[in-house]
Amino acid sequence: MNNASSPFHVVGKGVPRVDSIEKVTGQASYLEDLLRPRLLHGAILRSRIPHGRILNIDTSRATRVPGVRSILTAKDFPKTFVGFQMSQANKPPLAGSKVRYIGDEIAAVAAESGEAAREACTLIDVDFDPLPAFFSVDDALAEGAVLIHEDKPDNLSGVVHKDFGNVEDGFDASHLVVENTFQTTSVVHCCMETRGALAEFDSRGRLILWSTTQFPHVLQEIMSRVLMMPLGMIRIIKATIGGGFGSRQSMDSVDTVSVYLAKSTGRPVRLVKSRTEEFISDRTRYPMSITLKTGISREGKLIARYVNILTDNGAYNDQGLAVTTSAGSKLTGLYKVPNVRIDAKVVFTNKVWGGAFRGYGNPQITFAVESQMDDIADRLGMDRLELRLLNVNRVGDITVAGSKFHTCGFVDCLEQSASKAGWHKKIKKQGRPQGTKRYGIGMASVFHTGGGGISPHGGNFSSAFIKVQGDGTVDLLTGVPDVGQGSDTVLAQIAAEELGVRIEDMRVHAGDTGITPATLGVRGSRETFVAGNAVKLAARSARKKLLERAVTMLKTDVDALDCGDGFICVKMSPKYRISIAEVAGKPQFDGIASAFPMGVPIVGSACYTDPVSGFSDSATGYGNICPAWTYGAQVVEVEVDMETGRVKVLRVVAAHDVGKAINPKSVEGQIEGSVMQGIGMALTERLVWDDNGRVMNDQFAEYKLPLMPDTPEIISIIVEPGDPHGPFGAKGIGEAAIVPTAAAVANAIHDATGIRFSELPMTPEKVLREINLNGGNT
Amino acid sequence: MLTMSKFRYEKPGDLKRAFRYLSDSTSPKILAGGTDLIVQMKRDLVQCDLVLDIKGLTSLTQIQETDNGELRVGAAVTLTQLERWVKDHPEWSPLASSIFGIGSQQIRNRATVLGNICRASPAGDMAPLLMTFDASVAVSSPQGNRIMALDEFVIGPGQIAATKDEIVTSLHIPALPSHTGAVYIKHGIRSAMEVAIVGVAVRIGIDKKTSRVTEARLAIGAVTAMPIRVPRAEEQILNSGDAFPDLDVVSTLVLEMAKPIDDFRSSAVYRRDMIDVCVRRAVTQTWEQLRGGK
Amino acid sequence: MKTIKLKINKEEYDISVEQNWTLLYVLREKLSLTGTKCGCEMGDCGACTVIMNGEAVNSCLVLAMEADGGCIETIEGMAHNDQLAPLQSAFVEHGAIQCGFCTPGMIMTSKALLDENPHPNSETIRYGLSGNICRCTGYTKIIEAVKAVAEME
Repeated sequence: MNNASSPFHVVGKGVPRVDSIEKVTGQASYLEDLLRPRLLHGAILRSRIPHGRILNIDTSRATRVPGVRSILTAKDFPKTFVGFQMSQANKPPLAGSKVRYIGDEIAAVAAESGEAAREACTLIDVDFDPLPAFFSVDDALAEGAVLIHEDKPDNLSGVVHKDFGNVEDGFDASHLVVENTFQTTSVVHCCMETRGALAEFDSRGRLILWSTTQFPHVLQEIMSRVLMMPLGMIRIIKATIGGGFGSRQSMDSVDTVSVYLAKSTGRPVRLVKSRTEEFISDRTRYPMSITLKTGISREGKLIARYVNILTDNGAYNDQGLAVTTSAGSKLTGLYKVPNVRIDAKVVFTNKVWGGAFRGYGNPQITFAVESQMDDIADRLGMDRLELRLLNVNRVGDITVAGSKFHTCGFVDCLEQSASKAGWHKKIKKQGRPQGTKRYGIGMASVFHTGGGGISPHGGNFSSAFIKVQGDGTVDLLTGVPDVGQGSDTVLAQIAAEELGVRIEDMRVHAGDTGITPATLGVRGSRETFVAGNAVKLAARSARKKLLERAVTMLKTDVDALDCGDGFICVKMSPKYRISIAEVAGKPQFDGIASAFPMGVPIVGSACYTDPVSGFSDSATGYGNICPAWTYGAQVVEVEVDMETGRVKVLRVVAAHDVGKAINPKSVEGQIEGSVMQGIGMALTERLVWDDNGRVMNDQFAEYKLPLMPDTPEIISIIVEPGDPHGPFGAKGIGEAAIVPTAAAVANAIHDATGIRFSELPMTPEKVLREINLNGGNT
Repeated sequence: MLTMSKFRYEKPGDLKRAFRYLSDSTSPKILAGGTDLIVQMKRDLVQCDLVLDIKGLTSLTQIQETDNGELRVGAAVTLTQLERWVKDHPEWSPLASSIFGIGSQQIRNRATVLGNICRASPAGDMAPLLMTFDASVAVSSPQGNRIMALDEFVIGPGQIAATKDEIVTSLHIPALPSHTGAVYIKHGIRSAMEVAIVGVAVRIGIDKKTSRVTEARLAIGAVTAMPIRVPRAEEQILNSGDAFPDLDVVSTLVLEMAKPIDDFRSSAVYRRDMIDVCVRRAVTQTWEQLRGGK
Repeated sequence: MKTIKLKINKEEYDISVEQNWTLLYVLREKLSLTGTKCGCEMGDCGACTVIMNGEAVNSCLVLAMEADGGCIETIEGMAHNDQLAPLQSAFVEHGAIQCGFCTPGMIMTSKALLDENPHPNSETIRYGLSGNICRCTGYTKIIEAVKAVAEME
């Protein structure tokens, strides 16, 4: 029954995604595909000034547009906010007294057609009293700067201070101390589907909200509080979602506004952002200015690190503080270092507000750390790989912040990526001119969560229901929304493996708070680990019932039985077997399989909470805050055109510790997608503002995403050290592969040109400027 | 989904009717491929009361070579159509270097050669090379036809020398003499879908026997209000005889004529550097074409 | 309103349209053929790609009136009798689909490419699909899927 080389039937196989047929035939229903009877279309009026008091809103002209059914402004909403952490959120669904960035939502219209709704928006007259606006952290922090939020002195959204060990002693004991400042910028998720919501109240006043959310159950809770309605009156249903990458973690005005438009009209309302709106008003990656000071011993051992981070929060709170804290904390686990201090300020500016974006601050901090590691290696005269291996984290280590590694694939990732890339051979090619092109090779590592961890919404949990139908097929009910990362498939594989059915026998129902049991939501690369465990436990409880029934049919003990490929067999004589369909649907009448044989359906349910994560000391932040840390390493090869500054990425070798790959093809897909996002962040992606705070490149034509001809060869190496807590040993991979890419590219460019770039993106213009400053093409 | 302001759409089958529609409307717009016009209408940058689709005028959908080898490209001929035609007529292959870098396959399947010219974007990709080919444009009105050289036709950013009552009907490109090489080089950030930061077109003709330069044309795009030729640079190439032109001098002469600006795509400084690079590469590639036995 | 005739996936339609509607709008909002996606509306992303009269086009940049009398192929017409087209099977098998939003556009552009050139090399595929943006897959498995079909027969 089993393939002799693998103990698993379904897990570990690159099976096609379970939702791929719907997607490849155009049948999958995304938010904008959903239709409801008497649907109205919503549109939002957005601010054209970056900062100002609203003196008056006149909607009289707008109400006269034929087909308009409702126009809302802030006065039509309770005092409520939109965001992720309600304790910090300060973004009202529609602007009350002030607007704080160009794009800020002022009014909303529901009409019979999108055309009418948008036309009505253009006829809403708003009188402003403009205020000085700040587009840089320095300007916002300057003495006497007008407050963007009156209750936030100094325009500070928050501060971070963490101290582990003793950095002063550490620096004193160091042979070499280096300090550099790095700068990253606003990068946009660019989900191919723009954000939207469809809200409808039924005849009992119950709300159904179709959403692109990554957090259906949290959204349900928040809506319950906003609307002051019991949880049971609110149902959040995810549509097929066209990408998330963290943006869909937070609520957006679109959610609350569509609900109130539906409430005020008594009809379903669908509101979908245009691409321009998505660019100017949806979450971005938090830009950070990172000053990193590192002390090293003569032999190359890291002794102390001090980081000072200035985070550009944007106009409203979302996860700036959490992202900054998370970024700083990565310093304690990316290599062994006994003394770490983190200081940070999160600052309001009059620009679009940031949010969670794949990597959650780690790509920014890793750009700093890994660029500096190369610099350190060069100063010490060490090979850049050797320096990393000298400081590598290993199984059993406990970091200065209390992170623990039950398994650790760091060494394997470094060695295997270097080997596959031909590191030792190619590193000698450095700087050897080849006409107008220079070749370079660079590496960078990543330390990231592979199972979520401590979160502001309580425990790191998930739950699952399993129903076995009478024909041996299985329904899996999970709260986890598949946003394209492949959670449906991975969870189906885990369930199938545990139950002993085939992947074809699985159906997944996900992300509907009326039906699926709660999960926290998609963040922190947690779902394979946390939801995977919940599913495994639920499947196990259903499996137990199957086996108990099979025992009577096969006349043996439970311990003697095995399941797989849709059959239950006797371990010692596999030919003596019975199909799960037969066990599950033992016919009662006329030989037709029953949905509830013997009068009892086979179901399983479980809730799993990560048993590992917790603060030992919440005041200092010490503790193992993640159940399953992961490591990785990437080696990037580039070719720099010394005349134009254009950088072509030739090849990326990406080795990542995933514990156990439930679906290797999906793991590769996550790595490849992440790497391309990392390359975009490294070389071409940035929002550009004019002097008045208006985004100038609010279309794909001018916001430079990598395109297909820009794709390098990407080689994924899956490192599987297992994990004692992960389902079948699995850990997450959703984010890790974007984290080191920009640093590896920067290191490769340095290898090629001798120039160290400390600011992203490394556009051709910036590269050429530095080349010219450094003596040109010699 | 975004919608455009309301307009009337007409697709006449003959020029007479087309002219009547134009004269009856106050702010008509000609629709060929739509890849510029529709975007502009969606962004509310353009309002019009009539959209006149010229794809129903069969005479405008043709590519023809006259008896004396002049190429005539109708106003409704798409970039893909011309690209395919050029593949079958390799003596016109340099045109492909302009077409290839424009948009995507989907865009090129709709966008027209003349649409690109009439858009008169300073960064337009067709005009520079066509200027080196001495191309001209035929404009029709009820009063008759007139022919204008490209530098007379494109008069400013987004401005052409045609009134609202006229229809641009075709592009005329004189036959290329044998032993001519030409190329258009466009500089952008990515490999595709780019608006040119700098565009340089070069055409060089040599004498069959002596290999001396007999003709030289050089035009630049994206660095002046309109694409322009650079006569002094052309003269420099012409006077190089059978020797490879002095690129330092050619480049300096081009830079003298260029007026690159700072914008969100690029600084003027970078554009200046890229003019130098693109001029050198364009001249070198053209030279290699010629040496490659044309 | 004007009436136009469209042949979509071999079926004839008579539809009343406003003159300022795009083909994309008609497909999605009037005919409920929602497989074709709206990604940017400016012709930059390719999510709305359909094949019109044998050529891949961004349906967001085609007026419904322009499509009158035309022959349109959308993603809904690719599979026949529950049998996936080779391109579709290849996308599924190679893991070329993640969120799936770009997939219909990718498939239609690929189909048009292969209809004209059944055996393109890697470079032709990459440039042929340069007008289709994917944010999830990093393009690699999409190239592999199209290449696999290109190498068939």
